[in-house]
Amino acid sequence: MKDSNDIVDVLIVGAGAAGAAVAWSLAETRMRIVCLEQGDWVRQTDYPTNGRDWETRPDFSGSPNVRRSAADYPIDDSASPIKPVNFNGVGGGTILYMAHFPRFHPSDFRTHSLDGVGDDWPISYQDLEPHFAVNDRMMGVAGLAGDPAVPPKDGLLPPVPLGTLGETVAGGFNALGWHWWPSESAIATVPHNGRAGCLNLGPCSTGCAQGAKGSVDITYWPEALRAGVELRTQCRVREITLDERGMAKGVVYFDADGVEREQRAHIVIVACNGIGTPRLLLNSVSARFPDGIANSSGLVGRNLMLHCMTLTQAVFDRPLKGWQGPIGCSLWSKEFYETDPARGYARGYTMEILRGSGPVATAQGGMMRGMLPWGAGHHAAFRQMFDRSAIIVAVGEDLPEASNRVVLDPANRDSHGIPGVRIEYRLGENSQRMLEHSAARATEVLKAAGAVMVAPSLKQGISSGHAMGTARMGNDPGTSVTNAWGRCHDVKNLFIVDSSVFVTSGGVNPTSTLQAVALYIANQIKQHLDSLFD
Amino acid sequence: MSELIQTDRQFSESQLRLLRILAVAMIPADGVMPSAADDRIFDEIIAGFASRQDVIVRGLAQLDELSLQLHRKSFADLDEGNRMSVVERLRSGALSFVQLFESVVIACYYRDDRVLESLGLPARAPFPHGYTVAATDWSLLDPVRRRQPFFRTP
Repeated sequence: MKDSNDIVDVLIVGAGAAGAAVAWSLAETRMRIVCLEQGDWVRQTDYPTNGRDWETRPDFSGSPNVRRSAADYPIDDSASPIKPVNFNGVGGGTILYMAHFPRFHPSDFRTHSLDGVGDDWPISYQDLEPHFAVNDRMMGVAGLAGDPAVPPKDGLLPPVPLGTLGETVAGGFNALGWHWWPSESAIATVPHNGRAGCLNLGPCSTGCAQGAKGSVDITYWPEALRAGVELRTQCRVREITLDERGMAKGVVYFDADGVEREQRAHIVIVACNGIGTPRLLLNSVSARFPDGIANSSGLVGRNLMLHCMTLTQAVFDRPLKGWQGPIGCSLWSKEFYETDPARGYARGYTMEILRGSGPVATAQGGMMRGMLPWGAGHHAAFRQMFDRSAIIVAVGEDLPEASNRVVLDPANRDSHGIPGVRIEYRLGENSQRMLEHSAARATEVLKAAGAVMVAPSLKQGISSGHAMGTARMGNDPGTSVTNAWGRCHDVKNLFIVDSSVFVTSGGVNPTSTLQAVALYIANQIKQHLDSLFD
Repeated sequence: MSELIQTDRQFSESQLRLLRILAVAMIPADGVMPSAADDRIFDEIIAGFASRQDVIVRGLAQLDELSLQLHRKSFADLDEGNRMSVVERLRSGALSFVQLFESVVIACYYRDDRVLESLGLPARAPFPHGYTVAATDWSLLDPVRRRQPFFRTP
């Protein structure tokens, strides 16, 4: 094994949303920082919207089981009604996310105190607020100030225009007297920090060829690299190693040539997302931690939250121009976000209105749902669907349950022979009731907006890139994996900075909040440098 | 083009004939739109099957078998009505073949220049030109602006 004598100050595993933010924040300390990323850089010229086959490129699918690139690891999702998606490369999930950028609400950090469900976080919205603001500036967030559903904020770029589709659905919300607001989106609607303004290409979810979407390969990483952080790509970490004192010694990894190497470090930071992080911890076994490093609580991999979601599609009798503009970023509704006991469940959900699909996705979706026939009726049916469809996705808060978990799957291994993972997840009763409510409300508002047909809502089989909770933070080492600033209770120089540390899931996309948490933890590390391992 | 010709050779003439009949059965011409068996589109469809040829060959064999069972004739010799009845039966059974066939036909058909232009879409990739979305009149938000803040503060 090579390089065992080279010791860096900080070693970060994972160059995605959290790892990039932490690398950038810690760079000002002038410590020697190295980041290992199992994937590679993605060039903007490689993104699908550069070509005519932009709707059908499997190499930019969100599912690692479809992509099957060398950087991916297998995820057996057969025991989960929700199918995890991710991206393994510099930028991580931000390469393929829709850039929907809501923050968790203040109540999300106190669900037990307020509603008697889940657990309270050891930190609050107020603790994260300054880091939300820094993150918004770095990522470039478009939106409109004044939303009565969320705490005030400033510094937003101009909002993404709603287009005909958004204005049509907004009319439905107004007719019912329900809340709606233009979505906050990590999209440069005007040139921002060297990034060009959005061109309304459409499918942000296959990468942004224009570079207007805030993915961390073009936001945090250029600044972190300029500040001296070293990023090594195509380097897959196999395990975190321990020294005789029970401190993290470093990691063993495979470099781009497949050579096994050791990288030692004074501080090890894991940022591999809510599935990759427990995978790495569970794969790091030793005499001291036979069930995985930092796992004396037995909670590594448990309390997996993916969000309970419904997808409701409606057809209108007029063109909506929905194939133009950022597909995931139009408007949201927080009407049903905060708990109302009269609804029969605790917590709530955000309704997110998606723009329409391109012709291929429209036809494939129509065929799959039985709305598009073979034969003579095909063209008429397609014309009724294409550019006339709107979709509401409700993102609901699923509560932490120990039985929902990530476990190792030695039967399925990655390209380096490291075990993949299996997801064991079921929707709890609270989630089931919330799903029924959100499906009914989405149908109601689409009809109020003038839809001529609303298809039955999908409640299972929906993909989610929102993996959270699998190495939760807390003050009690018996009921949590890390302390309030991401330091593992069991290993005092091992930190976790991604959505694994989430205590609850909120009812919104997690990227904004996980990055604020990562920046918060980096700040705590900087403030505690002289007593970091006490 | 050389790739397409090589790919063509992976299927027999009778298999290609069946695929062409199926493509028309799925998306026929309608006067403005070409059918999915249009030469240019069909070449792309055949190329799209290249990596999953085994699934296609098995599916075509099932199709003919089903046709013989139901109508005592090869699928190619059936009239249009009987073909559709065989297709419907196939769609409820041979899922991997049907899903692959439908997926590739749709992917190739709905990126054809003539099809896109018939739908009023530009026949080009989204980048670099993009699209223009009209500015929003935010007075639409006036009813919402009148609401008091309603997020909970612990």
